[in-house]
Amino acid sequence: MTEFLQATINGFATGAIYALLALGFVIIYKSSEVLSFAQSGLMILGAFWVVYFSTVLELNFWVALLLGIILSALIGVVIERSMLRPMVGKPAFSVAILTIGLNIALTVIGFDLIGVEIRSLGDPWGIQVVQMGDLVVSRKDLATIVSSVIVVGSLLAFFRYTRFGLAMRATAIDQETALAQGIPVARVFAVAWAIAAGLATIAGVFLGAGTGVSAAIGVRAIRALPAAVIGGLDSIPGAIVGGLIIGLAESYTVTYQSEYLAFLGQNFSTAVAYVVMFLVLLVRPYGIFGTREVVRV
Amino acid sequence: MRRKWVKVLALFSVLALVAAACSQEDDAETTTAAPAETTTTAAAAETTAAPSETTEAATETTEPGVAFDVGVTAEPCPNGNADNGCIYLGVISDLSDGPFAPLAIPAVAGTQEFWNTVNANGGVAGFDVAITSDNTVDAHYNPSEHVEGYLQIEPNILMLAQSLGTPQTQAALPQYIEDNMVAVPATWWSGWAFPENDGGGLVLETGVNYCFEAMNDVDFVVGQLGAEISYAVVGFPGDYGGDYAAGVALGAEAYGLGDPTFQLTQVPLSAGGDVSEAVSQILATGPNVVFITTGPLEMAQTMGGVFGAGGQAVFVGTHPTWNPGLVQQEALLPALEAAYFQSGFMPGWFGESAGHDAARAAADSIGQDPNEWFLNGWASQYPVKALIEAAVGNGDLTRAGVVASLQQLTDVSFDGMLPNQSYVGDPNVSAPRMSIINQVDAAGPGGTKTATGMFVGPTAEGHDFSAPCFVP
Repeated sequence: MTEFLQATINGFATGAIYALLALGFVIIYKSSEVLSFAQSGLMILGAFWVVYFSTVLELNFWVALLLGIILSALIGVVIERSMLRPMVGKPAFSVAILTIGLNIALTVIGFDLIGVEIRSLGDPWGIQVVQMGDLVVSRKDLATIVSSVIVVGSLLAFFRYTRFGLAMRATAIDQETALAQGIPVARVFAVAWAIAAGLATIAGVFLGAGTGVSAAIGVRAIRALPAAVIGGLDSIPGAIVGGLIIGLAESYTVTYQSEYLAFLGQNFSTAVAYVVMFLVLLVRPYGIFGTREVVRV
Repeated sequence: MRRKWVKVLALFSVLALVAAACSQEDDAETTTAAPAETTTTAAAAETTAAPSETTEAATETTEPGVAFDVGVTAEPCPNGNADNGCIYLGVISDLSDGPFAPLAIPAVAGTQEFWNTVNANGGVAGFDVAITSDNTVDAHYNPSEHVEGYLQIEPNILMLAQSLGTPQTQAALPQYIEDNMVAVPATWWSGWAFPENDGGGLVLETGVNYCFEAMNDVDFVVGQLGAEISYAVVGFPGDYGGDYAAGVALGAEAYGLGDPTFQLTQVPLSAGGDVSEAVSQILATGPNVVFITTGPLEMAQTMGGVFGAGGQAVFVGTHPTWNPGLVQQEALLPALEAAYFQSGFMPGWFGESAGHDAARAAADSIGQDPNEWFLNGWASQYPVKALIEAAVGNGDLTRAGVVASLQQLTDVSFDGMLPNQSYVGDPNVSAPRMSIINQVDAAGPGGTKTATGMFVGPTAEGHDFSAPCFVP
C-alpha cells in the first residue's frame, strides 16, 4: 500500500507539470483555434529566464520566478502579435506547422542560452524530503503539487469571475459573435499566449528544480501533448485530468511494470503516455472532456 | 495589389534560395579548394572513389623526402610556422545538444591546445598540425550524422583527432578502413584493443577500457564496503553501457556478489529518456552501490531522484558521468560529495606530471577552467604525435604510410599523465589495466580529488583479455 501511495504522489507531481503544459495547449486552442506545438520551446526559454534572474543576476528565487513568468508572458504576446496574428483565417494545418517551426526556433535559442551545462535554478526545495508516516515525499514534489493547485485554481477563478475571463470564454465559444459583441478578440488571443507561456515557465521550473535545468528538459514537455489530447483539446478540466492521467500512468508503470509486465521491456514508461492516448482516442475520439463535433454529411 | 506583392515576395524568395544554393556550392568549392591549390586536394577528391590508386597518383614529396598526399600540404598551416608543412586533422564530436557535449567541448579544446602548443614549439617533424573549423563536425552523438560528417571532411584530413562515441565510431569504421583513416576514439570500448574490431589498429584508444575500469571499480567498492554488498547497474545502451556492465559482472563474479538487484538500460535524456525508472528501481530494490555509465545529466538526475526521495546508495560512475559543472548544483553537492565516486583512466586536474603541467599552462593561456576533459583531449593526442613522427621518420606521410607506421607504436609516452602504452601485440599483454577513482571535492581544481591514485585491482590484473568483454 505504501508503495502504491508513494507512486500516486509521484504521479500527481509529474502529472501536475504535464497539466500546466497541457493547459497552455488548451487555452491557446480554445481561444484562437490554433494547435500550438510551441509549448516545449516556451518552457525551455522560460526556465532559462528564471535561471538567469536567479543565478546570474542573483535575485531572490521568488522574484526570479515572477520576473521569468512576466518576461515569458511578454514573449508569448510578441509571438502571437508577430507570427500568429498574420495567420488568422489561414488553414489550421498551416498554422500548426508554423508553431512547429516556432518551437524549433525557440528550442534552438533556449539551447544557446542554457548552453551544454546543467544550470542551477537556485530553488529552495533542493533534494530534501518530508517524512509523512511511511511515505517519503520530496519537497520539490510537494511544492509542485501545491503550486499547481494554486495556479490552476487561480486560472479557473480568472476565467469564471473576471470580465476578461468571461471575454475569453465567449471568444472560445464563438469568435465572430464575441467580436460582434465588442469583445477585443485580438487581445484575447494575445493573453492566451501570455498565459500559456507563463504556465510553461512554471512547468519548466518544476522540471528543473533540485537537479538543475538543461536543454534536455524540452523532450519531456512533448509528453504534455498526449495529456491535452486525452482530456480533450478544448477542455480546461480535460487538460488537468489528462495531465494527471499521464503522470499517474507513468508513475505506476515505473513502479509496477518491471514486476508484472516485464515482457514490455525497459523504459516503457517513456511510451506509456502515447499508449494511453491511443486507448482513450479509440473510445473517445475527441478526448474525455472534448466537445464532440457534429458534421452534416 | 496584395496579390501582386505576394508574387513579388515569392519571386524574391525563390531568387534568394537560388542565390543561397549557389553560395553553398561556392563555399563547398572553397573548402575543398583550399587544400586543392596543392595537388593534395585533387587527390582527395578522387580518393573517396579509389583510395589506393589515387594516393599513389597524387603523392607529393617534400624536400627532406617525405611523401604525402591527402590532408597534408607543403604549404604552412594558417598562422603556422612559415618553414613547416601542414597536417590537417579532423574532429567528429558532440558539441551542442548531445548527452556528452559538456565533456566533448573541453576535450576538443584540449586537443586543439595540444597541437597549438606543439606548433608553438616548432611543430612535429617539420610539420604543424591544424584542426580547422571546416574539419570539425558536431554529430550530436548520432551515428548517421557522424558518418555523414566524416564523408564531408574526409577529403581534407590525414587523421581524425577525435571520433566520439562507440556506436558512432563503429558506424563509420568501414569507411575509415576503406580510407586508411586512423582515428582517436573518445570511447573506451574493450573491443578497440582487438584488430578485428578496429580495422587492424586504426583506432588509437588511450588508457584503460570501460571493462577493466569496471573491474577496478568493483575491487574498490568491495575494498571499501566489503563483499556483502548488493549492487545495481544503470547504463546507456550499446557498448558504453554494455562494456562497463560486463566488467562489473566479471568483478561481481570474482567476489561472489551475485546478480545485480536490477540492470537497466538508460536512454539518454536528450533522446527522450527519463530517469524515473532508474530512480524507482533503486528505491524499490535498495542496492548498496549503483554502478552507472551514463552522461553527467542522467547521473545527476538519478542521484537527485534517489536522494530526493529519501533513498541512499553509493554511486560509482565511469569518467563520462562526471562534469565539473555539477559542483555548481548546490542542492545535489552534499550527496555528490558523500556518495559519488568517479573512475577514470588518468589523474584529473590535480595530477602531477610534465604532461599535466603543460596542459594546465595551455588551459590557463586560453582561460579554460579546470576540467579533466580538457586533459583527456590533450592526452589523447600523444599517440597521434608519435605516429606522425614515426611516419615522417619512415619518409611516408601518406595515409597508407601512416597506417604502416602504426606497428611502431610500441611504447607511447604521455609525459607522465598516464602509463606508457603499446598499440601493438597481444591485447592481453598490451591493454592498459590501470585506472583511478576520484571523489567530489568542490574546493578542488576540476571539482575532484583522488580517492585511490592509479591502480590495478586483482580482478583486472588476473583477467584473461583474449576477447572483448562485450560484443554488440
